[in-house]
Amino acid sequence: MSWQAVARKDFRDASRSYLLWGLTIGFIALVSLAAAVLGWVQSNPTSTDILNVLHILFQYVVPLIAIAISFGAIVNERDSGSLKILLSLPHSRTDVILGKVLGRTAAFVVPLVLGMVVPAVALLVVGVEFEAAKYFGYLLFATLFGVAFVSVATGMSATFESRFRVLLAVFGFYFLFNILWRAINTASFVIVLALSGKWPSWMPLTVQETLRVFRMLSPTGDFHILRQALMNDVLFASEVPQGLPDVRLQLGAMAMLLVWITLPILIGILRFEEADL
Amino acid sequence: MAAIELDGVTKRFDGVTALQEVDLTVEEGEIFGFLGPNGAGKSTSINILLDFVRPTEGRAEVLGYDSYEDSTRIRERIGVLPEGYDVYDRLTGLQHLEFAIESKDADDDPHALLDRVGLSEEDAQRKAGGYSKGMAQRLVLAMALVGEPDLLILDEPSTGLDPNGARMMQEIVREENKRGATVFFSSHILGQVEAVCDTVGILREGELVAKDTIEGLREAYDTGLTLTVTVGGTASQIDDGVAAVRALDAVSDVRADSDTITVTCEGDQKMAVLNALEDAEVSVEDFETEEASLDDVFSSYTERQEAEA
Repeated sequence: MSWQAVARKDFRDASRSYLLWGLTIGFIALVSLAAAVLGWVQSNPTSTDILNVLHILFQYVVPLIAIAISFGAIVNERDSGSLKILLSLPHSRTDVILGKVLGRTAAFVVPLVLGMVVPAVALLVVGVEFEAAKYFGYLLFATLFGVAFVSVATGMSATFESRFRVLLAVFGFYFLFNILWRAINTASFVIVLALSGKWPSWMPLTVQETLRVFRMLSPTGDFHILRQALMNDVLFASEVPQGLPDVRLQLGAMAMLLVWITLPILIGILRFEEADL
Repeated sequence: MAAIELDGVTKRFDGVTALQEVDLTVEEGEIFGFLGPNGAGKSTSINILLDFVRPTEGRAEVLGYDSYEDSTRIRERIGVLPEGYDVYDRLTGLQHLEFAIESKDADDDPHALLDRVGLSEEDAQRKAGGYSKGMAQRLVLAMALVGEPDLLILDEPSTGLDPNGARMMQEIVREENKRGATVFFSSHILGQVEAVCDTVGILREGELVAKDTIEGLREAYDTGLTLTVTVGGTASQIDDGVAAVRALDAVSDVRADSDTITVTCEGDQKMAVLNALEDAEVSVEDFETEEASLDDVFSSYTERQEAEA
């Protein structure tokens, strides 16, 4: 299959740059930093305590790294002209994008997994209490979360012709969904309440439900929902205490992450298929 | 079946017409030279064949396949040296070749191909980011040769090549053609086309203005012979001689300065000119002839527009 050849080449290309190894070291450093900071202020932290500190960094850093790896996937090749070499060979444009998204996903996932597995071994060696299910569950959700941004960035890379527009679109997405989303949610909710005195009765959903849906729309929200459930031992549990995401919300978040992983790529393919190169 | 068939192809970019109803057939087994000045639409035509851009009107076929519908199948059977490409900086020459071989599902020996285009084993192990333009051109040519393609499409193949490289390119074009491949290449330099092509097409401002064999073009646009005669004698004798030559039917232009007379005439009129000079008692000390080169033909096609304007 043609996209496999593209993916292999793309990953090989990435692994030749220092980026991949720099990232691996960077992730190891982040986890170690979280462990060291925690070890300083708290005696006998568990691996889960470390994850909670790590998460403060990860929720911002993981998408940024995914974006940095992927935003150039198509547009850089279009810019430089190497895309002409790629498309002179018998690869369809769809294969090129699928191959690219796979190559970039690998270039993101490999450092992330190495960067968390290597410190895990170190934590075990020093005898930190290690909750494997939570540790690797968190790694899985962080991976899905990051891959959603790989997909968004690659999809936009295929959609826009200039690097500037790709960057604008990708960072616009990042700020909207990762930084501003929660504030926008709260603000619009407050405004609606303030204007009407109460939640309008014609709304099909209650205030709580609306807020849940909004929270679910953002990949960052999905990541938070899944992480919260995992850390509180209620992941996909039928009985969930008040204040924690129930199973419907968790499944919704999972589904929504998968939408973020696939939809941007589909849009990218449609736009790229139509474009004059 | 034709190797390439353009049928009423028009391409407009944001209202600017790059190609205007181009009809072109390239037969299988031909070496076809696609000539025209920069900006005439050569690359746009090639980009349509490769489905990099889509025609606004008309359609294109390559090896009997529709350029849009069956683009992948076309690219399985052709080799391409595009224009304005860039190599992958971090991959070695050898890895480029391996990628092309894998992509085309071929079983070529990458080392043999690199050797054929004159890249050493040492070059092959280096990252292509450090290649000169000429080396990159050789590398991409080697990639184009992967899988014994039925058709080679080469866009300005001599770009960046030194004379040795250009010769290598011509040799490979001939060898591939002998093997049975059709070769379609574009150039704005006539010499390269003249040396290897059976047929040429001339594109000017998005329109195909001529398509013929090299011989045919020469005949169709016979600008005749230029005869430069070194003469002796008095100024009045030379004036008489010039007048006598000018009186000949087949002579289109005569210019004289102190001891040379330059005559443009039909190809078989050399003796008539010399006889006319002798009759006027001008002594002919030496003469040189020069046939109209294809360059003149090319210029006359591509520059006519400016003359008309």
